[in-house]
Amino acid sequence: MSDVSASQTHVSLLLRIRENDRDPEAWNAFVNRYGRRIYEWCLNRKLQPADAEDVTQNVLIKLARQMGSFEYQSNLTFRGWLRRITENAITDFFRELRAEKRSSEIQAELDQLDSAVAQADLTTRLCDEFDLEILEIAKQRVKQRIEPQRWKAWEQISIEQKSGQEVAEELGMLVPTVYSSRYQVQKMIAAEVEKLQDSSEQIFRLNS
Amino acid sequence: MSHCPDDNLLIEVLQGTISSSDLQELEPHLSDCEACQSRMEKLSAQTETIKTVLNLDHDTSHPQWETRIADRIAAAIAENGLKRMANTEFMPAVEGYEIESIIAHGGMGIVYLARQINADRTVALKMMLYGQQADAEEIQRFQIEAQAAAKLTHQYIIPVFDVGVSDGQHYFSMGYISGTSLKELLQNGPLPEREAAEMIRKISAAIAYAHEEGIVHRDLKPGNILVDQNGDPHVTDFGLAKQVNQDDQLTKTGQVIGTPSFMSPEQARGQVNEISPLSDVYSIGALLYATLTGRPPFQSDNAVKTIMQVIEETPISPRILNPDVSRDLETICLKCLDKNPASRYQSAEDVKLELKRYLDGQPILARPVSAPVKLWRWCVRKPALAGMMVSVVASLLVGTAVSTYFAILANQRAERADEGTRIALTSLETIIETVQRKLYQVPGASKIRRDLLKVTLQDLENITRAADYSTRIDRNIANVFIDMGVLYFEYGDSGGGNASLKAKANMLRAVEIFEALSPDGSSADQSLLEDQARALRILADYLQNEHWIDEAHPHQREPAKALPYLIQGTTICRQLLQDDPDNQEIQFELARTIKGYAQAIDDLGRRDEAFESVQEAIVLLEMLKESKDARESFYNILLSSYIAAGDAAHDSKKNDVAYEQFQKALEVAEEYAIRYPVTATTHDNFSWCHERMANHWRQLKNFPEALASFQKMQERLEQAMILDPEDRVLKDGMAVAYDGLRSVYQLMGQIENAKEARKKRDEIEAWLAVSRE
Repeated sequence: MSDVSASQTHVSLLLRIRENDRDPEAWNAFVNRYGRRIYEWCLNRKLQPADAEDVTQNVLIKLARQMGSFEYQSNLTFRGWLRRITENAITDFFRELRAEKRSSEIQAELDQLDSAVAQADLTTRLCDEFDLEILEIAKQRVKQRIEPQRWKAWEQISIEQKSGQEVAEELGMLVPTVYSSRYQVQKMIAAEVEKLQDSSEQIFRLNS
Repeated sequence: MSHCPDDNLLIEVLQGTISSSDLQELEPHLSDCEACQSRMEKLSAQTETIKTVLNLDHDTSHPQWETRIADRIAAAIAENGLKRMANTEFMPAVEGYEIESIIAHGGMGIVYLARQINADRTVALKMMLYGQQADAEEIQRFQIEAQAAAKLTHQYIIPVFDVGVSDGQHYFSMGYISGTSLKELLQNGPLPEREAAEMIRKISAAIAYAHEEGIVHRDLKPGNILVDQNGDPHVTDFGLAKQVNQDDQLTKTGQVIGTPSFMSPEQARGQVNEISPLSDVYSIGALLYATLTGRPPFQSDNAVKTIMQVIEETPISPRILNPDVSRDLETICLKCLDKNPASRYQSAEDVKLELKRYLDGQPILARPVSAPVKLWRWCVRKPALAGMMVSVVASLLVGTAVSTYFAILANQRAERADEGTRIALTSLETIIETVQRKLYQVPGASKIRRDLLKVTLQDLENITRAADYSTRIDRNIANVFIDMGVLYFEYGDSGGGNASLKAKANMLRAVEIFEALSPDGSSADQSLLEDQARALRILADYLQNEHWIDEAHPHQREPAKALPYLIQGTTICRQLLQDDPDNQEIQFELARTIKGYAQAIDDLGRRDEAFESVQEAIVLLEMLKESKDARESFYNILLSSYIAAGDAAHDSKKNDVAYEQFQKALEVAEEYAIRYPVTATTHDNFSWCHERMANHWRQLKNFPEALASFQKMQERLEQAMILDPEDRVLKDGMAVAYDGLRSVYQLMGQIENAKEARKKRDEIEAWLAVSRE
């Protein structure tokens, strides 16, 4: 059933990894997206790049493990759940870290990461990244369903923050059309985001 | 149109719902009017959420992130990170069905949403994961059972449409209910009382009907009850979920033990022959319990523990968990949950009728169960029965661990291999722990303990050595060796012969394994080091004491040999305490090791040094004893530390100091006797102190006192042996007591008494000699 895997690109990476943690494509994307966040977090906390890479790799694995094993609880929102597994992953990671003996120099470096503030920071970064990802998927989905012109109108007015007048001139549209494009596109995106969040929630519920 | 349109009209423009003629009219105005444009700007403004997320996008990219870093990390993860198997059978092809999506993953298989093509209906298609390993006989049984289930038509039973095998995998298709499972429903907490009663009544009706048709469900649990939009329950997975084959558990069971929380005790014990409709009655009670309280009657963090609870413990009264529950419903619930099938309702029909009575406001027939009796307590007062109990639990534990493990092995292709190893290991670890902690308290359990350890050892050796787990497996093996050694040491070898050598060999083997895992205590794994320290101490303890476990190999004290192990153990403990200074377990281990060390150097003639050393142990143990988590063993070791100190003083003829230490030991024995229930140990503690006191008085030539002390020693041992008749240490002690009496009588010139005592001593020694053969 090849169309299943094709349709999967429209599902968040968290779900894809949870479904099949051997999917190399999903892993590459996952690393590129969430790994980047962890890596930045390490660098911001003054880790050497090589160590940051190490930490990133480990936290990602922990995250995947948590996704696979931590039961979704319906009293949590999806975001709450995500926050929980992220926290668990980080806790796991530090627990192991503490058990290992390392040179004091590296240890001092790693200690930078081992604080409540640092960990909350990482959790937020990863959750934000999830929101962004969902937004991107939603955008992709909407983009496929709308005239390119209208899509451009939305991008320019919303992301590039041009005025309605400017966009109308540039794209040869009427001003009311620019605004209605923006209005409609964002409505669709918002609906898509909600749908994605709901379906994430549902998939996790069913699977656990 | 020159005036500005109102907001409603503007929204119609934005939504695109305005008619084209109206739009044509409005358009020129809107293109020119700045006021209208700014209103449209506002009306089409981004919603807060999207705005927030869009803002996130700007400050993210770190300049130093590069794709090649991502590639490196991804490659590293692919190489060493994940051992889980790829789920290659993501969407199977089944003839006659179009599979649409996955509805659920379960321990037993995957449920797909599918369309049955010829019947043109939506179905739930369940594929059994272990199908590929099934043999012909099993397939046949599966088919027969599934066909039987397919005959059931009842309003509260999900119909089975079709059973088959596709590509070696069993599947069956059944009615699709769009709703939730009772399991999910209960995650939001208990149901209102009447609603719960109504739901369980309907379930009972369905089960009563199935029983009439000769089908026992055997796996009733909230996950197997689907609740439709009207709130009506539908029971699923009749007789299918559990394929138990007792004859050959290891290869054929194919059964993953999921949650045993809803299982009847007879099922939990694996007594397949005893599974009957009454087992379903039990499970109905468990369901009622869960709907009333929001949790199952028994639950714990691992399956083996839960099974033990199901067998041993009385559930907490539902009314304690939820005071709103009426007494009648509680009564009904607990009657279903009776451990003894004969005391339950005698059919699901009876439960149904009883619940109907409750719902109709009529008096129910069952009478409240009297105050729950704790089974385990009851056992403790009846040691012989307790032994039987233990053997049941033991065989069950072994069965569980083994079958869980092999079932998962069988699923390896589709499931996660290392998850299987992990679960098997965890189960085995629970067994090892049970042997060490729980069964240790049960008199008469030595044979079972040893059998358990032997099977555990085999299982450990059979576990696939996934690299991740190699250390953990070896470590468990070493722990089992140590425990076996201790058992041989304490109880001899009922199979005859060589217990002493076996004990020593097992202990040495354990220490070697630890040495390989952690040369010179260099491992970074704290809990491994704790186990290593324990093994070193136990081996040293064996070496430095004399014993006659079997006559052919009497063991003489070898303090010099014990010393290096004790030193290494002390070093490990001290090192562990540096990182974790308040860890009581390690403090305790350290104290025990130091005590051993002191005894060893005392034997080597370094008496003053020994006295000094053991004081450190005493300080630690006094502190531990006063902590809120104080345990019995803290007292026991403290007592023996005082004795060790006293011995050191006694040997160097510092009689006053020795007396003081023995007196302290006696105080500890008394404190222990007051604080903990009386066991053989309680008496043995006293006997030990009295022995030392006796020696003390004898050294001072105060024979009447010495005699009195030996008599107290002998009486205490007598009492201890009533409670643990098998313990050879007690028997040995008794021989020592009579020998002491003999010598004191002799010294006092009471020759007849001396003869009598000698006779008693010889009898015991003869008995010991015979029992060794």
